[in-house]
Amino acid sequence: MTEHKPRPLEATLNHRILIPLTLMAMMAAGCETAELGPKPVWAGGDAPTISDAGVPDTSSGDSAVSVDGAADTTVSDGTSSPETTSTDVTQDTETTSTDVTQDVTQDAETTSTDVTQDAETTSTDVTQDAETTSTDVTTQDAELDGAATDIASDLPLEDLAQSDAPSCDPGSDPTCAGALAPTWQLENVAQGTVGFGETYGLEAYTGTVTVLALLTGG
Amino acid sequence: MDFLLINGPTDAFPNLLANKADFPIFQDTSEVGAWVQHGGGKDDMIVYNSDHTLHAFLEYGGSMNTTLSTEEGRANVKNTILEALGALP
Repeated sequence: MTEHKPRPLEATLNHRILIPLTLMAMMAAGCETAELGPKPVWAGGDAPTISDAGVPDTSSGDSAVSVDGAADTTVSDGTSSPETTSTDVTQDTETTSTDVTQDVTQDAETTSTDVTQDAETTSTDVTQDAETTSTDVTTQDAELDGAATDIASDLPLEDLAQSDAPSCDPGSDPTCAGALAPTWQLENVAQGTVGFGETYGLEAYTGTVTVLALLTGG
Repeated sequence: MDFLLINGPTDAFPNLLANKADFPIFQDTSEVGAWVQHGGGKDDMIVYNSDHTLHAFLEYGGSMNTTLSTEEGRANVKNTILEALGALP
C-alpha cells in the first residue's frame, strides 16, 4: 500500500488560494485599508462598513476579535484567538494588507498602464487633432494670403494709384483741366466796348489767355 | 489777356451790370445756356490758356478761396492767371 504521510494544513493550501480567501474574509469582516483602494461593490446588498464591524473601537476588543479571527482563519492556523493583542492584529492586518496591496498594486499598475495607454492614445489623438487643426488654420491663412495676393495681382500698382485719384474727363466735363472752351454765341451787351451789340463767342479771343467770370447784375 | 463776363440768363436787370464795365459782357440766354456749357454757376471764374483749353476752373466756395473782397481770394485769382500766362514767379 502506498504510505500516506499526513501533511500540515499550510502545505496543502497553495499560496494562490490563500490570497483570495484572505481577501474574501477581510471583505466579509468589513476590513478596509488604505491600500485596498475603492470600496468593492457588493452584489447582494450594501457592503458592511467599518462601523458595522466595529474595527476602530479597539478598546472594546470586539474589533480585535473579528479581524484577528478572520485573519487567523485564513492565514494562520485557522484557530480563533479572542485574546489577541492589538499588536497581533496589526501584524496580521499588515501581512494581509501586504498581500492585498500586491494584488491591488498589480491591478492598479495594470489599470494605470491601461489608463496611461488610453491617456497616451487620447493625447495622441488630441495632438493629432491639434496638429490637423493648426494645419487647417495655416492652410486657411495661406489661402487667405493667396487670395490677397490674387487680389493685389489683379490690378497693377499704376492702376491702383490711378483708381485713387478722382476721375475727371476733359472730353465730357468742361470743368476739367484741358477741356476745350465751349462754342456758344452771345450778344455783347457792354456799352462802350469793342463789339458792343454784336453776337460772337470765345473764338474771337483765341491766342490769348482768357479769364471768364459768371456773374449776374440783378 | 482778355477778361470777359457772362451775365446770367435769369438776370432781370442786365443793364445794371452792362453799364458799369469796360470789357465785353455777354448776355446768356436759356436757349444758348452758356453757363451750362461751361458747367458753372454764379461767381465762378474760368481761366483758359491761349489755345483755349481750360487752365483752371475756380469754383466759388470751392477748395480755393476766390472771393475778391479778401486779400487771399485776390492773390489766388491773380496767381492762377499768372500761372496761365506763364508769368508766375
